[in-house]
This record gives sequence, C-alpha cells and structure tokens, in this order.
Amino acid sequence: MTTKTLSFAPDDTAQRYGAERVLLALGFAFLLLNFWALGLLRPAVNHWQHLLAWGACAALGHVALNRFLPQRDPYFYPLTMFLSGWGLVLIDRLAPIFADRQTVWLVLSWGAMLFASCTPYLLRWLRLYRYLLLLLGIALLLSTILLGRNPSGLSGSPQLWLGIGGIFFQPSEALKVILVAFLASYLAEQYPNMRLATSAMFGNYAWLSPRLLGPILLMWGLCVVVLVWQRDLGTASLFFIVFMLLIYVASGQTWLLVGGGSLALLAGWVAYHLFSVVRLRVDIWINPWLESDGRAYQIVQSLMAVGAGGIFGQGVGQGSPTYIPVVHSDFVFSALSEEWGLLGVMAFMICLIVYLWRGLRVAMAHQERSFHALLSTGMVLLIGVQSLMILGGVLKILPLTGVTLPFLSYGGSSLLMCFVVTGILLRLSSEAN
Amino acid sequence: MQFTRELRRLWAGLLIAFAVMMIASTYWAIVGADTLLQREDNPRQVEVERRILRGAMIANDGTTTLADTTLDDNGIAQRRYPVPSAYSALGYFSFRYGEGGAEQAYNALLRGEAPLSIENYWAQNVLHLPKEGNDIQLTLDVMLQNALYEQLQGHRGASVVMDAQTGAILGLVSLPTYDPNTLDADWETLTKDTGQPFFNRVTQGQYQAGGIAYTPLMALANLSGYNVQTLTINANTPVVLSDVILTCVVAPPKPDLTLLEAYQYGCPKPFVNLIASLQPNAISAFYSTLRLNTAPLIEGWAQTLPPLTPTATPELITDGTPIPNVSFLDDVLGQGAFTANPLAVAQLMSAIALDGSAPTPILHQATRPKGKTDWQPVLVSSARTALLTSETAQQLRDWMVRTQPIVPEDEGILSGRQTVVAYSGEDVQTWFVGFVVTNGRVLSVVIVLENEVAYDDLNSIAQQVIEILGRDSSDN
Repeated sequence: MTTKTLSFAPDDTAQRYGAERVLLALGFAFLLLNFWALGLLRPAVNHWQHLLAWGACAALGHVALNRFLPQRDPYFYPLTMFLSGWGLVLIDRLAPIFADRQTVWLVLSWGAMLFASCTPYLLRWLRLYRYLLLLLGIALLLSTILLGRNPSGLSGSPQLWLGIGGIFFQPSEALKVILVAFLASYLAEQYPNMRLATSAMFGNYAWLSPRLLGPILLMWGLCVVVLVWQRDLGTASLFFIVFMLLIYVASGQTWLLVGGGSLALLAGWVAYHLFSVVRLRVDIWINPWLESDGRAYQIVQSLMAVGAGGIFGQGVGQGSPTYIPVVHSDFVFSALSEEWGLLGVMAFMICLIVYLWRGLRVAMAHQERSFHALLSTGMVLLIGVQSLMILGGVLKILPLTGVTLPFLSYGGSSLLMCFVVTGILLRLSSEAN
Repeated sequence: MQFTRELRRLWAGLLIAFAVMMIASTYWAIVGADTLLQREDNPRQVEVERRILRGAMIANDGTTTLADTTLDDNGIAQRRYPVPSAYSALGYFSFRYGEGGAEQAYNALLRGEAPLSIENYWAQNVLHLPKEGNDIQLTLDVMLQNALYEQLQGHRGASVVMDAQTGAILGLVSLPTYDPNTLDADWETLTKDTGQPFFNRVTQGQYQAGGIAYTPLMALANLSGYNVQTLTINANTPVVLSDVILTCVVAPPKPDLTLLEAYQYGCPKPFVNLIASLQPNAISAFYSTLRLNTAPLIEGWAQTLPPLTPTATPELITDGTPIPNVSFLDDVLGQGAFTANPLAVAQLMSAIALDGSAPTPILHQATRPKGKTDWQPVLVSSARTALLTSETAQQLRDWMVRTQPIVPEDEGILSGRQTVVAYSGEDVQTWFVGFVVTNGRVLSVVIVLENEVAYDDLNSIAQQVIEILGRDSSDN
C-alpha cells in the first residue's frame, strides 16, 4: 500500500520543530499576557499555577513528540495547546472555582494525547477490534442510561455523567471517538461495495443490502436512544451529522447527504412535537426577543455579549459575560467575543480552520489507506461539526444544541476527547510521512 | 485517489460554514451591536453607567464643589451634592431616573463623551476603559447662592441674578426643590408633591407678568414720544379688567399723577390712557420683540428643558399663543395671556442696565478633564440681543433709579428697581425686578414669590440681596 506524503519531507524535521516551538512560544506569550491581566484585576487569586502547568505540559510534550513522533504535522500540537490554554484563561476568568480542576483535566488530557500519539499499534488496534469498540460504545451508552447522574444533583437535569469518588465523566464524549473509529474501520472495508452498489442502486437494489443499511440503521438507533432516553439533542445531532458525512466521503454519493438531511429534518419535526426540550430550543431560536427575560434569557444575553465586545473586545476580565447562565460551558464563545472582540473571534476561528485543514490534508495524504483517511476525516468532523453546532447556536444561526466548544469550554470529558483526537491526528500525520 | 472529490467538497463546505459564522459574528459585533446594547433589558447598560466617573461641578471660585462623583468599595460611582443652596440650580443625576437640569444639559461633558478627543475615543471605544467625565466650572457664586436660598426660605418662587455684561448666572434658586442626594428614595413622594419641586421656576416658569408690563409700556412711551409728564386726573382710580380690578401698588400721596409718577407708584390708569394713544399693532410687535414669555436658551444647553405642568402657579401658557377671549387691554397690562419667564425678565433688566441689548445667559464657564488642574474657558457667543434702543434703555434706567422711592439708596450702589403684583385667577405673585451697578459690575436681579402679596417682604429680601451683591463685588 502506498501513501502520499505531506508537504514536509523527512529532512525538514528541524524546520518543523522550529515552527512548533515558535507557535508554542507565541501561545505562551498570549497566555502570559492574559493571566497577568487577570492577576491585576484579581490580585488575591493565584493564577500562575495554571500557566505553569500549561507551560510544563507544552514544553515536555514538545520534547516527547520530537523523540517519539518526529514526522508529525507541526500545527496540531501547538494549536491544541494554544486553544486549551485560552480555555484555561476563560475558565479562570468566568468560574475561578473550576480553574484548578480544569488544569488537572488539561494535564490528564495531555497525557492521553501523548499516549494516543506515541502508541505504535493504536491505529492497527482501532482497525482490527472495531466490533469490540462498538460493544464498548454500546456498553457506555447503556451504563449512562442505567447509572447516569448529574454533578449538579438537580432533579430533572440531564443524567449524562458517570461518577466515581466525586469524579464525573461524560461517556458520550468517549463514545464520539469510539464510534468514529468504528465507522472508519467499517467503512474502510465496505466502501468499495458501497460505491459499486450506489452507482447502480436503482438497478440491482444492492443498496438495500443489510451490510450497507446496517450501520446506518444502527447509528440512527443510537441517535434515537441518546435523544429519547437522555434528552441529549446535541450529542444525537452530532453523531448523526458526522456519520452522514463520513458515509458520504466513503460512498461518494450525494443523494445520501440529501436523504440523511431529509431524515434529520423529519426527526427534528417529530422531536419538536414530542420533546419539550427540542420545542423550547427551536422556539427561542426563531424569536428569542419575545422571552428575553424568560426562556430565551441565555441566548439573548449571549448575543448581547457578542455585541458588547465590538471589534476589539472589552479586555480580559473587563466585560460582563457572567450575566449568561453557565457561560463557562456552552457559552464560552460569547465570553470570548465580549472580552477579546471580533479580533479574538476571528483568531479563534482561524485556529480552528487551520486545525481542520491540516486534518483534511492528513486524510488526503492517506488516500491509499482508506481506514487512515476515513479516521482522519472523522476526527476532523468531530471537532469541526461540534464547533459549528455550538457557534451556530450562540450566534443564532442554528437552534442551541448544548454541546461544548472544543478545547475552550469547561469540562474534563470534552477536553479529554479533544486531546485524544489530536493524539490520533498526530499519529496519522506521522504515518503519512 | 478515491476520496479526493469528497474531501475537497467537505473542505469547501466547512469553509463556507465557518465563513457564515464569521459573517454572523461580524454582524452581531458591529452592525447589530448598538441595537443590542441599547435594549432596556441589557444589564450591561447599567454596568457601564455605574462605572462612569462623572465629572464634578464646581462653583465660580474654582474650589467649591457643588457636585462630584466618587467610587465606593465595589467600584460603583456615587453622586454627591454637598451644597443645599445649589440643588435647584444643578438638577439631579440618578442611575434609576436619569438626569435633570444642569446635570442633563451638560450630560455629555460630565460623562466624558464630549469633547471626544482621540485619547478619549481610544480609551472608551477601543480599550473599553470606564469613562471619566470632565469637571465643569459653573458661573454660580456660592455666597450669593447661599444668600438667595436663605432669603427665600419659607417662600415658594424663583430668584435669579445675572451679570448684565456677560450673561453669567451668578445665582439661581427655585423653591420648593429637592435633595438630589436622596432622589431615588424620595422619587415617589417628589413626583406627587403639588409644589412641583422638579419644576425649575427660573428656567421653565411662566408667571403672570402683572405690573412688569409697565416697564415695556414706559419704553413704548419713550419710543413714541409720549410725554411722560402728561397729567391724569384721579390716576389712583382702580381699573376694571375682565376678571380683576387693578389698583395702585403703593398708595400715592395725591390723586392726580403724571405717567412717570404712575410708574413710580404702580398705578394702572395713566397706562390705560397711554395704551389708548398707541397703535395696538405696534404694542403687540414690541411685546413680541421682548419675548418675555419665552424662557431664553442658556448657552450650551441643547434645548430648553421640557416644562412640567404645575397645578396652579406658575401658570404655563404656550409660547406666544394668544388667548382669543381675553381682552387686548388685559394682555397689555400684564394680565390675561401676558406671562413672563424670570430669566427672560432678567435679560430685559440687563438690557435696561446697559445699552439696550441683552446677553445670552451662561451657566458653564470652564471645563477641565478629570484629574487636570487647569480650567479651559468655554468659548461663548458674544452676540447680544437688541431689545431696546440705547436711548430708551438709558431713559428707563434713569426712571427706574430715580423714581422708585420704596427702598432707600445704598451707599456706593446704584440700583434701579420695580416691585409689582400680578394676578392669575385666584393666585397672585409678587415680582421684584431690577439691576445693581456696583464696583464696575452691572447685575440684574429678578425675584418672584408665588401666592403671596408680599410687597414689604420682597423688598426686604431684595434689599438684603443687593447689599450682598455690593459686598460680593467689593471682595472681587
């Protein structure tokens, strides 16, 4: 099997290390400036341990990756560290009592990323043991349905976490990576059949084969389970969209997208009439202004925060993003907009776009290794679609879905998932070279 | 290359989606920002307001603070008004109820929004630092202000002292008033108070003119060549108007009076004879020129403050609108539709005291950015409004100085005065109008008391004020 290499040739290693170092140094300078500004505003609180932890991880990670993964893409790691560091600043500013915990999760996630990127046989395991992965995913889902809790302890709130000894983990975050790995493995094997079947689908009915429809129905079922039992509209939507896009990439058939989209709209219409949480989110998306002091308070305050930021932002710690309930989780982007302004928003989005671009380049480089290409694409889609879903919700382009913003939002499980994705992409980029 | 086409399309789709997000962000951050920020339910509005370090208002001595703002332990700005006598001249500032009076008129300056230098623009709109307002120096003389306030205690009415040469308002008191330090707590009570404490009687009030009308009539006599020595038989006879009977303000020692003597004692009958000899149109035109029923615009004020409708007096009558069913004589003699604003009357007194032209009233004389020590004088228009010819002004000045025997002459102080009564339905006002020339300064004085025929009281008050003005000028 042949591979197409990325633009960096092996003898460009020094240049690549240099680029990564410069980017990490720029990220450190940005964080230093922002933690310093926070320190001026709240001198009684110690902010430096977060920066020190970040700096130590960034430096050690760079050294470790140089040693174990010298052929990696030089952008994933600094972008991941930069965005997660920015997230630390935001958590420290918005919910200081959670900042220490988020720092601990950062260190754990960083470790998981190194493990994922430096484990030589990881990709092989993911490919070979896909049904085991699927079973693990279903087990996680079932355990959440049966044993799920909410860290807030509030009755009526979503029971999406598993807790042990006061530490809570959201299995749906792990499920995202597991299912994408499963799908990539499954589609890598089935995609030639899918392309053949779909090219003549109206003639031989091969597209009705359980082999092709099986995973689609399985995913559909998983999404329904997630939506019905857990009222988790965001995760259900994310699963479905990522799945449909992966199927499209594998099969090359546009009608699948159209059909999937229609199916999603139908499901949305049914969900609107069946579930109050869906109805609420659609109603306040269409016209939040009618209930700006009531049910739409969060989204209206979020838009006001974006408006207050203007072009240059209010400055870190200078805005009033805490008027938005749970701002450190779902609405962290609004806080970023208010305090760093449109410039910060653009910087953040450009970072994300570069991250996704590098991920798709890895996929392109692996076109002869379909599993690698599809896995890379799936990881890119996880980050990209989740980002677009929450950005669209915050900016009133889409209904709110309650997913976190990758790298930035508070939440250990989410951060861990993002770092594992980066670890897998680092590994894939290294193998592409 | 099995996935190339699909991956390229996927990349294009992601780029388009992010472009849409960028456009949406730009829309809310720039295009829709003002709409969002100005929404009443935006708590950031209050947040921003509470962090503004509003500028101080300082008296004309450059040191006495009339109003200032300090930040409390929570960084919340607190407005403070330490001089009770200046309350009615300053207005109010409240987070809940906004601004009124001078606080409203100079709001942009006090909030630091004007003049907006490049540094201010950068600090406010780019760095989003809390706004720091400008300190402003007012023309108010604290000693005079205190004196006016003390003298009017127990009365309801208005009092204003203006420098006839510059238009600077040295004293301005409107009673009843309110304590702006406790405005939020008192608001409900104040808005229901029949005394209308929010109604600034100097800048917004329209009082029945009454005997003030004799002064423009004397000016008309002079302009028309009417002989003021013309004798009227039984000049002390009351004049019956539509709903009031006018008598002499001070009982004259003899029944037959010249027009000049009638002006001295405030007897209406000789003025009826004068009016009969003048063209009605000319009288109306002359009264319109004086614009006594229009509150003059204080220099720098964007607009006259909206008048609040009082319950009985001072009576508000729409600017210049005649009341058809009131007789012409009623109007010309200061009854009926002829009302006067105290500040406008002060302008007329300034014109009489000088060369016939009136200055534009000024309350704000200098500005300095927060934290700076040097005051920057405010550039004011030097244009004056011609109300009388200089000859007529001089003649009126002489008549007012020489023919008013009620208050004895003060040493070193030249003053012209007129004390009159005005009837408005069942209500009555007593006016003191005049001017003082002392130590090279020419000052006009107007005091009006509501609902009282307080002739002697008012003369006593005026006497005290004039003596203070004499002392004050000597000190200066």
